[in-house]
Amino acid sequence: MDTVICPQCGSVNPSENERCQWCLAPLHPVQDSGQEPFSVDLPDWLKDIEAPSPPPESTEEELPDWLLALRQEGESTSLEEPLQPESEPEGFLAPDLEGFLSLGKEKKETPIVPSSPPEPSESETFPSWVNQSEGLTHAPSAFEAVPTSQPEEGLPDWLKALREKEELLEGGTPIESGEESTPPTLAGVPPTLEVEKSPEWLTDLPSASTEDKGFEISEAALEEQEPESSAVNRAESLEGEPSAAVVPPFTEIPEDLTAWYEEEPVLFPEEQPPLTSTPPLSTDEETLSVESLDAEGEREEFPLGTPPFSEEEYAAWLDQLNLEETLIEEEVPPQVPAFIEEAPTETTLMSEGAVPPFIESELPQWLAETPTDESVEAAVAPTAELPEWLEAMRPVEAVAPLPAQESEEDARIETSGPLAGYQGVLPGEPEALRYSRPPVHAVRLNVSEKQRAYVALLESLVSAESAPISLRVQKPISTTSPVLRLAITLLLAAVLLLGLTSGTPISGLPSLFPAEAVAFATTANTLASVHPAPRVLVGVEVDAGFLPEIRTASVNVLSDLMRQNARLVFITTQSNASVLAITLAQQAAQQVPEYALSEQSLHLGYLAGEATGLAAFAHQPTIAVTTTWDGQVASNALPLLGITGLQDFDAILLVTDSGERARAWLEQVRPLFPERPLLIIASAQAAPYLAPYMQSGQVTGLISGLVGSMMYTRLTQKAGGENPALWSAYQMGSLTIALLILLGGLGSTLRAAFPASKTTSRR
Amino acid sequence: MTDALWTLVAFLLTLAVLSYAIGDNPLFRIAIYTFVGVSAGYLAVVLIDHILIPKLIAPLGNSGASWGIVAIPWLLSLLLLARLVPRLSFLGTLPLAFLVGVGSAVIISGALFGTLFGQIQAAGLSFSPPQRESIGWIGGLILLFGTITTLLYFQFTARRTPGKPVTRPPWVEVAAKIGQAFIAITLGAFFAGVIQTSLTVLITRLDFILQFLKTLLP
Repeated sequence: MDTVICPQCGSVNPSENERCQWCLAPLHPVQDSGQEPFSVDLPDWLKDIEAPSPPPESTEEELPDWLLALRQEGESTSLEEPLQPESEPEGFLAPDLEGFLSLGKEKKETPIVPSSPPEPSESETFPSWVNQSEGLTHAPSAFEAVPTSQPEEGLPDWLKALREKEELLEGGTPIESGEESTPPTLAGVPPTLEVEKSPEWLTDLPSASTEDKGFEISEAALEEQEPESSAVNRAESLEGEPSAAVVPPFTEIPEDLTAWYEEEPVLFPEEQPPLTSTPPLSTDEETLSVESLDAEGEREEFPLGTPPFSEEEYAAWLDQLNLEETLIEEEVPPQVPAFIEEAPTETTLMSEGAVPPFIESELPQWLAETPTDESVEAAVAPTAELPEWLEAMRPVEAVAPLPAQESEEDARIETSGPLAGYQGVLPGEPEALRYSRPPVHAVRLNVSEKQRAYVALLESLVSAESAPISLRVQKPISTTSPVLRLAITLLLAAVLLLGLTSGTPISGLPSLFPAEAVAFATTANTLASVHPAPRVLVGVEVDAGFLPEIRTASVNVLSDLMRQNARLVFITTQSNASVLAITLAQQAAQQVPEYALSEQSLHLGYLAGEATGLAAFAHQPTIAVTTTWDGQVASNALPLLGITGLQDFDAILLVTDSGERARAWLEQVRPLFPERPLLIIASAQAAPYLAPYMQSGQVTGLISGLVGSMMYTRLTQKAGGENPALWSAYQMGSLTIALLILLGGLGSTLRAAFPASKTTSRR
Repeated sequence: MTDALWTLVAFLLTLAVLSYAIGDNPLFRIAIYTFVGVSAGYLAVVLIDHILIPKLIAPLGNSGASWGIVAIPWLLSLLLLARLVPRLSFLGTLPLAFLVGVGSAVIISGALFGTLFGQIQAAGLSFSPPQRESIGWIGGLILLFGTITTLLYFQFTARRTPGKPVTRPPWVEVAAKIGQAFIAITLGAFFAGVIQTSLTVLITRLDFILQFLKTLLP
């Protein structure tokens, strides 16, 4: 069945179809309209390019030196090693590249079996860019040197011109319909040989690229020189080579590049520059040459790679177009990708400095106005024609069209290594190594007058702060002279000794008793009425130095409690008071021999935490204190039997010399012990603190100091409780101190009242 | 013999302390240092024997002790010891915060319920019918007046007048002066109590010396 290849998608359709069954594109646009199938999609400038180029004029005299060197090298290598196509690509190509090239190889094999219909499933396995390339290569099928069934009448004019030119190059062999689809060099080769020699998997592939035609052309050129059998073997060997003009999938057409092409003046066929002179084709490529002899016997190089895909150069598809034309003309070898290069050649180095023609629009006007022929000639060897100063002024990196939003790092072009020519490559060296030495700035400051004034003010402030300030010499505080102090001490000691030795008080013992003392004595001696063995918690918060003041009262009170068979539990929040408590208990027990002190009394010892410890003890006494002073379990002691809380005590007796400690007991213990009596034996210095609590009812009874002891003794009618010598000394000492205070106050008043007379007398 | 020896030591130390009347001297310093050293050593022994061992060490061997009673004191103690290491001193803030927080709460609550409320109630009792006969209205009024004026003395806020120094209102100034008198009387009472205590202690020491000297005399 006759088939028609869709110019849009490249798929094979039955010949009777008017539109493609895959993309619905018209299948016979050429016959219908008489235009090129791709002329609708291509811009005008491309149409101009499609015009038949003039015969190649790039003789060896006109070619640049680097191209001549390459050709000479290629000739020498081709003569020595005619063909080594199979082993070289696999030796140095990366796996990715091999896979990439294998696709091209598959594409190359497909036109060998043109009758095999394309399988949609297989075409879907190709990348999109491959399909696009197929469509592109099939759409301008007129480029193909092997048009299968298209008659010459259907060919566009420009293709006709191309073929005519080709005929001229090949020795005037006309391209005829029917056999013109096959290159003349392959005319004598039966196509079935290629089909038989090709692998089966290659024959299933749907279509071929136009690059394959180039290989076929080259094969045909070889076959003209070799027997048919060798030509077939040669064709087989070439099948293993990577495609020379595989279009990279990510090639894009820069907008400005397209604009450049659009702005390029249309050249007449005789003025068309040879495509071999395009800088991208002749600079950044290294040819893996497959030498073959053309019809004229000249050695030509056919590159097996593609140019690097950089926006600075031509778009790959444009290269392909140029390549196709070049292949048709068998003049310019296809390009080899730059990443295949093992080392930069002289050609590469020369090309780096070349100014691509697409920047021509940015050249000065005088340079842009140069004749087109000259520019074409300059394109053949651009670096040789441009002056050095122009190259210095317009480096490639400076004039390369870069997006405005690209950063500096993205705009950097790799200049060396396998990624040479690529843009936006991540730097391989640290940023710090590329930093140059920071510029040196002048350290001299421009200070205005106002700033100078501020500086002067700041300096004055700082200097004033750091300047030593002479302190005002104050008069020393007048203290008692050692003689006066010693005199007062001796006087007081003498008075006290006199009172102690005399034993005769100045006045009689007090007969009026304060209410707190009466309440204290009454409560302490009536506890037996509440409980036959009253359980009394005794808190001893006294220092050893102040114990003599309250010793008499404390011993008398404790002895009275012992007489009532009270169970005494001693506790203290001072570390050294435990021993004092034991001493007081022992002295009191001496007055009550029948009292079993070790059984009826218990020393819980030191309670840590002061106010906090008291609060804990008030809430849970059995948990706050678990052991006794001598290490026994407190709960097993007789005085604590039946006691689970503070309310189980019948009374609390506090012996203290400090108002603060007494207040701690009143604040932490008394609220939890509101109904039971709280008795306090305090020193004289703590009495003022405790008087308000006494008047508020928070303290049941209070006796303080030596006077309180005397009163309690008189209230309880204890024989021998009174000490007249002590009382006499106390009275005499109190009067002496009072007199000394009055004298001191009077002297201070006189000194303050007569300061002038004192100064006068000194003078 | 032992009592006589300790009595002699007490006599010598008493004389050494009283020697301060002629100024600072080595005898006074010896007595003071001896007192401070003995007190510190005694305190350490008491803390170890009555606090650390029964409350920190003994629970480790007590199988019936709860886990919290054993672990929490150890944890807080170790954290408190971390303050000895400068780098770990921040760990000691936890037990310190615990101590300060609990102590503050205890003291404040005790001051409120043990002192403030009780004293406010006592100020009102002076004017209650049952207490009228015991204290009387005059005493209650004096007590109330003294309390108010004393509080006004500590009133340090005043209205600012432009161009004039900041002064309290005149009636506040007068009340503050009266309150100042009450404060002076209170401080005098405290001072008198201190003098009486000191005098009593001095009398007992002199009496001790006399008794000791009497024992020495044939």
